[in-house]
Amino acid sequence: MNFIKSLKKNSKIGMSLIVHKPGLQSTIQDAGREGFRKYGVPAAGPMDFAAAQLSQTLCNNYHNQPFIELTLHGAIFEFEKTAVIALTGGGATALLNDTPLPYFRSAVIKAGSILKFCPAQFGCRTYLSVQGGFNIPQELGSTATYLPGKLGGIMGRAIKAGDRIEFNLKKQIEEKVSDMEVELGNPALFTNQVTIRFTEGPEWSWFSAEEQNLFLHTKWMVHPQSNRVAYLLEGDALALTQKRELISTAVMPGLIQVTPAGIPYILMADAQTIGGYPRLARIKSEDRNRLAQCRPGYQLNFQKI
Amino acid sequence: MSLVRVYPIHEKVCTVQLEKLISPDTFQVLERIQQAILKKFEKEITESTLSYTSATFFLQNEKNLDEYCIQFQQLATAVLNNQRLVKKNERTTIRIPVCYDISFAPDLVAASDKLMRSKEEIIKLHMLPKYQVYTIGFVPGFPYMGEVDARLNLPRKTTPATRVAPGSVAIAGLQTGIYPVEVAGGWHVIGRTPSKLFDKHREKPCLLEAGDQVEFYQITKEEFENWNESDCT
Repeated sequence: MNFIKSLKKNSKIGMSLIVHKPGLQSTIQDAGREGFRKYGVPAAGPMDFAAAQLSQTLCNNYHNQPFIELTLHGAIFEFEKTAVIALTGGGATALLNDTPLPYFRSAVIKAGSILKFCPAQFGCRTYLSVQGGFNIPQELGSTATYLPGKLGGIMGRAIKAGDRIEFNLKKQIEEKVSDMEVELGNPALFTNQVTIRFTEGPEWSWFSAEEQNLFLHTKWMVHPQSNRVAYLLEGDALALTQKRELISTAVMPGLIQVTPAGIPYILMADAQTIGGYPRLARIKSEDRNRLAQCRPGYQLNFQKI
Repeated sequence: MSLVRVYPIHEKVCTVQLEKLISPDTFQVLERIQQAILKKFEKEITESTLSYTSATFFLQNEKNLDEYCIQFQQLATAVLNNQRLVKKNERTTIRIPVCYDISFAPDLVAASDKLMRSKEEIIKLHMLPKYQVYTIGFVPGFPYMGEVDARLNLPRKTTPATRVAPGSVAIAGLQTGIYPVEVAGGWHVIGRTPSKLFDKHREKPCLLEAGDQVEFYQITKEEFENWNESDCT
């Protein structure tokens, strides 16, 4: 009996993470897709770069190996094979076989274990890296899932129940890679009031001083329709003083555009490559990590740098 | 006012914006500016895109972005001051088949009513010009092309259609475009092409790129249904 068991253990089939429940939205990501913007393909990649990189570092992975980005709670995964993993970011508390599993550390997960993501008070996105990376084919040079373009990841879609996501097992499992407690720098993991730093956008001067002040002093709320494409802001509408039309031009994650109805929205990882709305502001790239961990209902205030 | 403005849109990315009207001539100047900048900063630039009147450059690292902006401004100004000396850029013309059958053109009847022109006239006017591709965006592979004949000028729909079929050929204002994938869209769909605008498995995934020229030609519904992409490429 033992003989058969160990055979099964070493067989290639049993090297997957089995998805029992995918959670709100879970996608395969890597460092992102470069070089295809001229065809309208944005980089995608993780919303919270710092957390994603940290989970890779804790697993001794390259930053560009595939990992999973989870949104809030609800996911239930099973490991068919023993693995070293690391969780970073926030938005959920993890239970490994019903015992809490801390974030920001690497951990050995025994074959057959169930990893469950339960509700937490703060944060929005968890990063799950496995040592060796998930085994996902590249599309246009990257495994990053770009949902609007149905590209990358698992057939261009989010992870769903029943998926078996293979991982590249290293020959020898390196026990805990790093025992260090990592300093937590993202305020959105502890509070629902977050400051976002910005500089003037290319069309900042299209807005009157009054509108600029309104933007600076409004306590904006993250709208429930916010996602990997953009964060919509709820507050007083900003009136455009100049009814000028912007000729469609390049846009990037981190730019704040204002719709004709006066609603500001912040472009995020899956934002399209061109846009035609005035770009009021440009947020500090680091602060996109903060935004990535803000959930709907969080309060944002903007600070000019 | 200066004819060119250079500004950052990210810590590693800056845009050269020509303060000129959209036209094939402006686009040609823009391409020349792009070439000049790419030639001089080949190693520092990882990616570059064009859109109507602006060119955008993605830099390897974020050091000295302001310095890059100044140098890009100087190069762009030099190109602007040196226009008469160069020949027209060579253009690739791509012919795209379109079936204007009513079953593929959900907005053709409404467009005909609004424009007070027959369907045949709309089709004829749409096929008439050689279009310039000004940029690719919105979704992967969607070409923004101009200029549509002024007699077909329709504003975008106030409420976008929730699902536009892949291959749909549409007009809005003085622009025409093609939806590569099923997506919500606010342009008026007047036909459909069997050509694949975007295919991630192709060596060159995108059929068109900014700078190309496009001619549409009409095919029947039977031809559309029996279309074999490999026959014509």
